[in-house]
Amino acid sequence: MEEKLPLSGYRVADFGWVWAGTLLGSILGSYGAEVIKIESKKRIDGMRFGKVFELGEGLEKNTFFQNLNRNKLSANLNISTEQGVKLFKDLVRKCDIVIENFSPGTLEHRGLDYQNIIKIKPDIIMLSLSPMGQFGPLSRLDTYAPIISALSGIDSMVGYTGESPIGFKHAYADVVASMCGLFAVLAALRHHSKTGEGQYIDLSQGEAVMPAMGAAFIEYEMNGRITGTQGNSSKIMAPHGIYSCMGNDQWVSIAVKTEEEWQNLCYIIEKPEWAKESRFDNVEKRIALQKELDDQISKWTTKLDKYEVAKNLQNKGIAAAPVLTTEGLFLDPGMNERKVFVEVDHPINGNTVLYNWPWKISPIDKNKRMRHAPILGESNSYVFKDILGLTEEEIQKFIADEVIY
Amino acid sequence: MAEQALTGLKVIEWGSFIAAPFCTELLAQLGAEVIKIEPPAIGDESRSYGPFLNDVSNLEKSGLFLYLNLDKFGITLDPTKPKGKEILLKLLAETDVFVVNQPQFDLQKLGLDWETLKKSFPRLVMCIITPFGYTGPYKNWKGHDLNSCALGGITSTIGYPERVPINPPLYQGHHQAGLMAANAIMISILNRDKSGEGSFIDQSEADVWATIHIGMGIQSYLEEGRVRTRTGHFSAHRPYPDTVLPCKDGAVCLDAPQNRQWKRLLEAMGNPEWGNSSIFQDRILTTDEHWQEADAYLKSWLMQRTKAEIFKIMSEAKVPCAPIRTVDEVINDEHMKQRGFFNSIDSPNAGNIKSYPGVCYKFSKTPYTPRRPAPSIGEHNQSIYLKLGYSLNDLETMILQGVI
Repeated sequence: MEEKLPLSGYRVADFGWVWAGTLLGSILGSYGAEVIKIESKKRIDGMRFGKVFELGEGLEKNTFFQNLNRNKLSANLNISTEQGVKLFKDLVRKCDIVIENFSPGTLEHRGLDYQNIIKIKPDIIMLSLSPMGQFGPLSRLDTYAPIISALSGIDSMVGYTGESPIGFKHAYADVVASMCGLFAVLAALRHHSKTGEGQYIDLSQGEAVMPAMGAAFIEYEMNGRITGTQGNSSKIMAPHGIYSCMGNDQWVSIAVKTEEEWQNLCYIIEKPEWAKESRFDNVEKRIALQKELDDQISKWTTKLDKYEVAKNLQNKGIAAAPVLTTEGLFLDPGMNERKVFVEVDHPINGNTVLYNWPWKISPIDKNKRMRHAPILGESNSYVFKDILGLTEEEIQKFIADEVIY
Repeated sequence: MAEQALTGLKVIEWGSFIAAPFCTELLAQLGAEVIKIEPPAIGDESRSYGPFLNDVSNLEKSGLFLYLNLDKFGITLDPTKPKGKEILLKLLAETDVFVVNQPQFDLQKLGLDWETLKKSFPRLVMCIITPFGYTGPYKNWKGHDLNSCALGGITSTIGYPERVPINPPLYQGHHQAGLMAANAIMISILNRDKSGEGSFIDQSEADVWATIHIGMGIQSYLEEGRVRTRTGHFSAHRPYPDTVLPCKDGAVCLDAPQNRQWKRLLEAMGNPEWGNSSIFQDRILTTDEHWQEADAYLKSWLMQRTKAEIFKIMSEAKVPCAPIRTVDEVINDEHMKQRGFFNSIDSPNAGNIKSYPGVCYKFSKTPYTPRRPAPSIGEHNQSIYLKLGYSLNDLETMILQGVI
């Protein structure tokens, strides 16, 4: 069935590493592309490291790596050698897409930047992901995801209302940028299939976060106002918050939008008289009295299980849902029924629970691939012998010279 | 107009607020022809919310709407009325992609669900965005961004352990679901071009958080019983410091997990006495037991300096660091200007606005250039309905009936 997948027939040279550069390749692979992860013992993907920083089985254990590198092949190639660069060029000739997230300038240094790649393969689609883009004063900054998130502006809004920001404690910019990269590559593929033309894509991870902040940028431009930490308050709904429930650190989210919902809520939280009080009779007034509302709602929720609160409110047409942790997600009946997680068998680790893709596409998904992440170098023979046509002797020589390494 | 990557792709959006409009905005920016369907008279919900120009509420001057609907055509239509449905079906006959987020309507009852539509339009790609999924026990639950972020798991990771967890800002759940849907649509279109077969996309907002964001931690939970919880302004999952701390004029992020980076950081601070203490030599020990003391030392140094000063000192020392930039600082930043990220766009309703976010991917052959401002309510009714074969008289009747 695999030849029927939407991306079958496309081959990807995947130089992506760590997080932002890797996720998109695993999705391309799942929908049919042949994705070759190019790795070297000289430069191990940091995500392969777990508790041990040494070669061997330890490199196959990291569950983040397992999530991010599914559906890929793995070939060892050391591009810090001249022969390695030559082999890479031979491989690119047989590929449709190149993905990389080195620091800007690294590939240029090896003569493997887009200007050189198109001499070998004129219609290649090449995606470069970098923290702040390939050019500009901040393009060579040393960063990790939290730095990018700080520079994008989003972290200035993450925190309790009116307090100093605390920021996302999560590689938000990495995940979002990788999915923007996937979208860009898929769009470029459509352009290629219509016109035969490839192209270069310069993706800035910092900029990937910004389109989801449009209202704040325009608010500043329109009214000179700088949006700060947001907490759980809303400008258009009240009550709107997270409330404590029965048990240790258990919470539920409740958002009230219409007057009808407000009326229903008053009865549920045992304050029927509030439904008639004029001091609560529109959203603006309720926003101003949010503290009083929150205290009363908490009095009611704190005695109940978070799912019970959500179900009671949903039965009365009020938006509510439990706050789930990783454990909560794993145990949640909805996440299970929707198969949000999948079990993937791994030759060393056995069954591993990985996340499924964030969408469901019918009927395409019934054929999608879900194969474990590759063991370091497991596809060397396929890549160097079958694709590049090297002889066994040549391969042994390259291994000895630390080119296939 | 130069050919763009998605030129020729025809999209109908029956969306509201953020998720579906953001999804089709991403398609429109790359050249797709997007026709947006809005409820007659009041228009898309986002028109009723600010920011408004000069803080005056006006359906044609909502910054949120103006941004999310750039490069689209706009018509008014009520597909829940029989005549409205008839018109929608005519439009769908010439459409590649149909994107919907209208939680208040039962599409099955209206005969606008995928099972029904695919009989007439086997090549159509249909995408529905919902808070908790089109299937499953929560399919009929009402949900706003607050609720889908909660169920999806991201909220449990933000905030202090002893305080209430907090929702990500600015409707991130809606936006990210829109981005995911745009990806699923592209996969479907490439599939359709190859096989001739349409497809149905069930895009849940909660699933986005539960999978690619928080789902990374499921296996570690199973193996080690480790539940990812919130740790306030610093991250307990990496060697200290991965922290956000206040300074003289705001806050900065310091992220120096490697030993050499920590050494350089101390050096940049003038090698203070406390840095020699053994509790700050062992990075894991600092993270697990002494981060509060380390925070206090760092904070007293940071509070005497501005964001810009700290950023300069740390960058020169090659210590990963950044100011927590506010939106004005991002807009006015020289780097952003050189990259030309923000777009200045004139619209007849709201005048010129210089800070529309652009696209994060610069295509060498098919670059993004804004083509048109967001439509006024029903701006393209005449041109689109006349093309479908309706007369000006028909349009007047349909307006009176509240169909358009």
